[in-house]
Amino acid sequence: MKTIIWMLICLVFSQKLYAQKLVSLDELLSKDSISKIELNPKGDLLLTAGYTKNRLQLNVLDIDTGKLINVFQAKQGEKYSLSSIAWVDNDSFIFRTYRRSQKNTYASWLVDLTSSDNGLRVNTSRIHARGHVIDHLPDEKDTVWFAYYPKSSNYKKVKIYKTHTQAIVRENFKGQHKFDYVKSAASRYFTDPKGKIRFSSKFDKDDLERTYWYLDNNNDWQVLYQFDPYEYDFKPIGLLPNGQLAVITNIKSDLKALHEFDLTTQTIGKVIYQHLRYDISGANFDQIGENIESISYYDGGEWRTEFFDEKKQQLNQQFKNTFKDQQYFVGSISADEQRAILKVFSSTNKGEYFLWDKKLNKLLQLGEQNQTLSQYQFTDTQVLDIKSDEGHKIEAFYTAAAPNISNQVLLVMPHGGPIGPREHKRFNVSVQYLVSRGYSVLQVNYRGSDGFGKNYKDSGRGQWGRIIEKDITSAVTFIHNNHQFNNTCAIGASYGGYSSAMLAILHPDIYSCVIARFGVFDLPLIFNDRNTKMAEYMKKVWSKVVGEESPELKKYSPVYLAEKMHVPVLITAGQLDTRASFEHSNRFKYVLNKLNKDVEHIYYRYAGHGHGGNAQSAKHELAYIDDFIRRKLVLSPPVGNNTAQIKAREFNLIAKGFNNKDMAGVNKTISADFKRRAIDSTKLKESLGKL
Amino acid sequence: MHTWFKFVFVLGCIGLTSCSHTLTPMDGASSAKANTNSVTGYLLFAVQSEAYIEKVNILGAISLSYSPNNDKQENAYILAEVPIGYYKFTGVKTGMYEIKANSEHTWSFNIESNTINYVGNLELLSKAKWCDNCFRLELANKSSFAIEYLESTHSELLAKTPLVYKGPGKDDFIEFSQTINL
Repeated sequence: MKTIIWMLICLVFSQKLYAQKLVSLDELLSKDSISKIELNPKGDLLLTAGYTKNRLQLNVLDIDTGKLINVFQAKQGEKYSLSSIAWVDNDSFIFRTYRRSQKNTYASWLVDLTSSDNGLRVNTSRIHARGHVIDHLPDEKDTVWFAYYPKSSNYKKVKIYKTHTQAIVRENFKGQHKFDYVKSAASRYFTDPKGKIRFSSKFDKDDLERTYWYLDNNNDWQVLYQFDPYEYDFKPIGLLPNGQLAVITNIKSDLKALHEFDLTTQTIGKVIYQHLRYDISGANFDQIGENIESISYYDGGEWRTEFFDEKKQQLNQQFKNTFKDQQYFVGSISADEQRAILKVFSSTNKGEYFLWDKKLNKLLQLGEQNQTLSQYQFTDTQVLDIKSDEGHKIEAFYTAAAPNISNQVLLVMPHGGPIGPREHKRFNVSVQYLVSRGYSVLQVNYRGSDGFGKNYKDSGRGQWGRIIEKDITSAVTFIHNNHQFNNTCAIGASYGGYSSAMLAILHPDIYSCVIARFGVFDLPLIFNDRNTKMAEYMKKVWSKVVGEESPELKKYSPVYLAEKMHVPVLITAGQLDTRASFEHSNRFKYVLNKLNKDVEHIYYRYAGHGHGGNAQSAKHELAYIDDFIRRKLVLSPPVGNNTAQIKAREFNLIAKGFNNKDMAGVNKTISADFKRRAIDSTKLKESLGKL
Repeated sequence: MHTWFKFVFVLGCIGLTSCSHTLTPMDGASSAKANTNSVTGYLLFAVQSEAYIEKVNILGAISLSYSPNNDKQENAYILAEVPIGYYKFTGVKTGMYEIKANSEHTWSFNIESNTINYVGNLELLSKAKWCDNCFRLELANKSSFAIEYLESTHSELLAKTPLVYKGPGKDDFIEFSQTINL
């Protein structure tokens, strides 16, 4: 009773002062209203895919007449998710669906649209041929390049056809054009910008070598290049007018740059474009496939595209001015370049789609990626360029809780990897949830992250618990020197889970709690947590990330350093995780328990390395994380005019999860406790309503 | 005569070894009273499966087999006394298929006398949900779970019998766990 009165006083006080609305987990983790939009080559039909009340639906809009036709609508409980959509030509497209826990989990569908007096008519057929589309060939009617696997038991045997789409529906390729130059060693095929199969590749796991082949004008496969993809990047883009191949690579440079590649001598030639500080992420040819039109990169975590053509660069600048403080990219464009779909996004905007009509010189808003989020004000992320003690620059992202709701807690959130992944300045569900609950969040592109050159990435190799955590600490020190916090906690997943634990072990004076999610905690175990990981090539791959297999790795393993952990720890894990084996989390929990440390754990029954598409367990985890931090740091409830209602819902969610063997496992005591707290919150809400 | 006795003895040995000995898991009550001798040790492993398993096959000093009681096993532990020597998992039989242990990976282990030998968790995992007969068999190191199982179900045996890791690869965790002091 006293607790309720105390909470009531706090909340009444806060309600009077603050009109802030807490973001609801149900809405934050709801399926997108628009997950994909594609314009057909002619530019007169718009294909949209999204979810309404969790049910997948696909619609086609005739832009000129405004007529909308429904192409696909999942029934209640069918649990379809969209995997991909692509136009085959002006009036047909292929989409792929996924159904969790269904026998035929992936399914592909062909949709043909025909015009009639009453508008568009739809004919949907299930694609029975086993395989995938190599190129949709949008310039050729009803035709695709298709890689067909006749036997489900042998995916090394492939037949490639340039085929009518009805042939892949019927799984009958009689009369279709067969590609006669299948390379037995190759596993993947690619077309050039003109739709001709031009490249193939394979990865040799024993030699850790990727080979690209090029089909010359005599239809002979020539070795294009061989390289170690764990060390270098090499990505063919397409043939240039001078006969050279455009590639993005860092084989001859620290930064990934756009180069010419000589097919005859197989040498990397001159630089077409290189950024001063960042890796190039992508390059695009123009619509006719003749010339490189644009390059893209991340600058301060924001997606940037630069055009070589002056007029297009002017238009690019116009869009940048229109969408000030946001990022955009062109999702699809009509063949005549008169219409395009733009996706606009930022750290506060999950996504918004626009139709650009060049003739009318107009931008038409099509809709938001997730309509339910439009009612909320999200918090912008600041990009920081921090100078480390060693003199190099570290890019970091700081999302600060508004002063009127801040609980004076900094959450340091190391990203996973650690070699290759990176942070971006874009909408992040976990960050926005935590910030709306009053926490400030710091994310760091430490050494090992992609985007800043090969040296920067390679510096992180074998530096678990060392250089990487030094970089993170440089960023934390910067934040602490500029902002006041009562507490700092570390929270991360995968490598981030490991790093969170190590940060608290290495800096017991800084951290007050740890949330270690789906993590790795015993470094030697990475090499042999199961017999299938002990193959030579797997050891080579892991040693490029963790360092050489050696008992020395125990010195940087939280399991063996657990006596130095002096703060509360929450461990979450997926029981089906084989990437960061479930055993890591249980070892860490076991040792912390033996040492009588303050540790809680949640093991999600059907989660692997993350929750996958399971929103319920993802919500459960986030809600529990907030509660864990508040209990351990003795924080007040979050501030907002709907706090009681939101907390009641979250407590109920947590209670249900602990009463479900298929989610967090059955723990009647914990479940009952959260149920009681949900009831208390509901009583509080009712009391507030009467005031 | 001497040759005849030798022949009968060898036949007897072949007969004994070709017959598979069915493993019966010990419960806490029986393990508390059990004592191995110099020619036997304890085999400890678990079975985790996404499909029904009719039988687990182990070849070695003697042939062993284990038939789980339930389908869709979840980390069911098997502790049994077996003769010392070398063994290896050879595969499992589901309701419809024989799934052989992939010879590219390690499946063998050595049973020491007077010791609880944890050899790993045998996992039968689905490769793809759309494929009924696409499974992969793996042997995972889940030592911490094995320790917890012994502590909760066979604490008396654990108190008097050393526990060692005998699964794939080298791992010191079990030894380390025994040195943890408050």
